[in-house]
Amino acid sequence: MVLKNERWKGREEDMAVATERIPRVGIGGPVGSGKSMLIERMVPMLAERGYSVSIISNDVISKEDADRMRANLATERGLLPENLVIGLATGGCPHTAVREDPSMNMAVIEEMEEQHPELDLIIIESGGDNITTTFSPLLADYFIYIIDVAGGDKYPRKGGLGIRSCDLLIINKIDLAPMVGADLDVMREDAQTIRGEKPFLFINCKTDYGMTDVTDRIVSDLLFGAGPKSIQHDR
Amino acid sequence: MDRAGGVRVATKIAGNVFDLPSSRPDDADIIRISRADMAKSRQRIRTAAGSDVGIILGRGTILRHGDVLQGDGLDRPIIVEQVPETVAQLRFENPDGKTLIIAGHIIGNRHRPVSVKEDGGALTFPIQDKTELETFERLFAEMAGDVKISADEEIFIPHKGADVQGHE
Repeated sequence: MVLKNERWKGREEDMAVATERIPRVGIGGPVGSGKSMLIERMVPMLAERGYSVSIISNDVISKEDADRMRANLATERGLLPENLVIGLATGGCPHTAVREDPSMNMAVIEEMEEQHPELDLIIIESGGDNITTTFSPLLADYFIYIIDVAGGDKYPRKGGLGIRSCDLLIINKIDLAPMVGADLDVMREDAQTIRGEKPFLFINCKTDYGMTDVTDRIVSDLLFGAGPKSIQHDR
Repeated sequence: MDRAGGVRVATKIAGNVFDLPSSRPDDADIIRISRADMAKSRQRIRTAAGSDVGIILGRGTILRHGDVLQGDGLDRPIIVEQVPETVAQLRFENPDGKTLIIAGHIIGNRHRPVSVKEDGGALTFPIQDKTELETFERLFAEMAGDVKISADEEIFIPHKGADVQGHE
């Protein structure tokens, strides 16, 4: 479809570059909500479907999460090369490195894109110390915000940028709900009210409950349902 | 690539209907998106007619209210409509320079983008909930005689001075 009106001149974009760009998903949420565990459950499911992924894990000081994911997903299971799990010690407020000044992450990603054009997806993890965490749209195309029921069933109702604006809200550790007195019906109702038509999912990373739905969402909403590059190129 | 996994993909901003109102395509479909999502250069969204489309634009591209999207895989153009949001509106009544500077400092200190109206008598900035008005009423209390504050709903177009990331 091409517009007939010759008077229109579109804003100049390099479309060839834009459409070849590797999609990026940003995963944010409070410490202990299950961001790294989510990735450790998600990557094998994506790998099983043939997708090649890489991981960048932001933390303030330690690289513990990145080391654990590398050991589990790369060294032990061989689902991706070890050098494609990268830990970044940001040294400051965690949300700064993914929102206000994402340059440290961007530098790593640009190198990754140049050296690994075969990648289907780049996962960027960052701790968000409160409910206002978001990812800069320059850094991530799709933003998952994860919380867990142990914070209480008021959590979705409190809103905040992360909960309200993320592309997918995940509520983890639902098996703990009875033990901490969290009412999942209340959380469901509040999440629907706060988010309108935007999706949310209840999951339990320990049992993989809901993880297929998370993976389906990424393939559908971020990859637009496209298959892995390796399979497309084989055709 | 104008189709991905069966989803039709828009890859170009052909123009803006508010730049050339007479050129609004008659057969266009419409997508309604929030200001936050206007800054996304890749997203999947359902149109008003009920079909799913993908948008892939150059990274850093920010959509504008009224943009017309096209792509080789689309069977008709798509017009972008920004969804109205809750804003605080400040109305100044014969303010002096000091009042305007302090007002700017208060709003900027809360990291809010602003929109300055054409007549210069009003300024708006986004709030997440009308309950936030109480906070700003307190902050503006010392200049209550010069400034009136109220909540409103509008298609908020931020002044570009708040854009610190350097993209267009």
